[in-house]
Amino acid sequence: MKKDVFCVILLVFAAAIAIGSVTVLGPCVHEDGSEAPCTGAGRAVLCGGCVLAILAALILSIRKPSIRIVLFFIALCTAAAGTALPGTIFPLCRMDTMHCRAVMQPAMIILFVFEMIVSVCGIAFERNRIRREKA
Amino acid sequence: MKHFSLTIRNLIRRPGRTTALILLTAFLAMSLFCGTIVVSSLRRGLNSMENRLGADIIVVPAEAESKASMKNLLLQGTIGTFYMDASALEKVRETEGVEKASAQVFLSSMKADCCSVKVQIIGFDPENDFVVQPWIAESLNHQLGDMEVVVGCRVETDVGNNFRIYDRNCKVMAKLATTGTGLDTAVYCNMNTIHVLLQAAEEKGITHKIDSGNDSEVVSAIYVRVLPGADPGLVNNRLNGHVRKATAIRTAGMMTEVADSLNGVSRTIAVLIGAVWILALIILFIVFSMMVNERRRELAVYRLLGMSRKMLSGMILMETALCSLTGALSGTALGSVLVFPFTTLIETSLKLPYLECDAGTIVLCACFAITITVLVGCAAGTRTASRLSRVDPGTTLREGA
Repeated sequence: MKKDVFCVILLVFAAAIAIGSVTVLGPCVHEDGSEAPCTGAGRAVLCGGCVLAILAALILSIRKPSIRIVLFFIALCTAAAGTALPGTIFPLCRMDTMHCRAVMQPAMIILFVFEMIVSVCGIAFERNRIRREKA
Repeated sequence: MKHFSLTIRNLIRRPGRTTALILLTAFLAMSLFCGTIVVSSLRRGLNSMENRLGADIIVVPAEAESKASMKNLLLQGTIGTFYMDASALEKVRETEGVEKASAQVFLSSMKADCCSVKVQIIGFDPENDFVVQPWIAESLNHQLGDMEVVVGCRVETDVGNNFRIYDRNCKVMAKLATTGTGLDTAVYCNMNTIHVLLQAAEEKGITHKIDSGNDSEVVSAIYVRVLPGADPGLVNNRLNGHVRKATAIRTAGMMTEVADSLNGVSRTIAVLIGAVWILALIILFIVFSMMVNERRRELAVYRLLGMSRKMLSGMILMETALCSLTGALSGTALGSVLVFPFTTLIETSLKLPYLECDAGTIVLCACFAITITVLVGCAAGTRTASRLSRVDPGTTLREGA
């Protein structure tokens, strides 16, 4: 159980990103039903969250520490790219007071940074496990 | 150093108790840090609003009071489009006690293909203006030309870019510094530009004319500065009587209303912080009291091994201080993550001027929160430390046997 703690946290944050991007932490919604400039960013964030959730599930199902390290590293890269999704890679609305800039962007950056921290901790933990097993 | 490593080992040996203490102190530090930062930012926003307003009285069309009050326009950037006859400006200037009067024309852009974004566009006369011009002069060293605009800090565009309003391209000449008010989301231009834009809006089917005039004969608000020594209240009354179909509003009254709301919010935050602290302190004292019974035998062994009472209480205090410091640091860090990225959300939710504190104030608030939390943590642990150090090793160990 102890060795799965980081994958579970990774999965929880990934679920928060994915669910958040289609609910309270999502992009702006125009009253007339037209697409807001930030809709693409919202979709990209949802994809990022799903990829991280799949990676977390894979890590949970695999026992071998070396493969787990590789998967944690992929999760780290995905999360790092995720921080740039809203605003840098995908455009947002042009007013700071819009929901996408006031809520979605900061919340998603924080969640992706947490994912990065968890991934780094996961890599360190698995490396220690290898070292302990060798000893 | 020997005691320090013993303290660390004690903390690691009981991860549950250590985590609970750290979490509790983190919660205390976070509430104090976040509360202090929000209240300081609100006070800074109010000061900024006072400095930026620059006028004693604002004259607006009579219907503006119900349509979109000036307070909402200034605080939340609520888009207001109301017009009155431009002749009102002359009448205001003729009124006794008026030193300066400057008109502004408001227009709202559309959230559609024709416009970059829905914003409040404010047209002003650079020659006579004393409200916006000094503020724009901080960012732009020449007078604003035709089809040139200056944008508030919250409009996402860069200097030199084109800003599209009703299919007309305006060049962004400067971006203003943050004020913490609704004016951060506005776009400023000269009177020629605003008349071109009013015409363009008319072509799009957006009418803004008043019954008796055309585009060049309308104004939305007149900002008034009274003569030094004149009573602004008296001038306000004179303006209300002299200018037809218009209402004169004293900015001092508006500021008092904002200050009252701010005091209300500050009081609420203080009560909430107080409640959180009382609750957390009670829990902290309970935790430490439980610790007295739990660690009695352990400390009796230390006494038998030759530790003096002073050393024992010092070790317990060091444990508490370490937990409190770790908790205070992590609580402050978590508070920063919760407050700073969501400044806009806090501002729009509170509907009050909110200007983020400068780095010095933030560091000061963080130090204050950390110091208070560590001191309170140590104070709570002192009683436990003195009780535990007085433990009689022989009796305690015999009781347990």
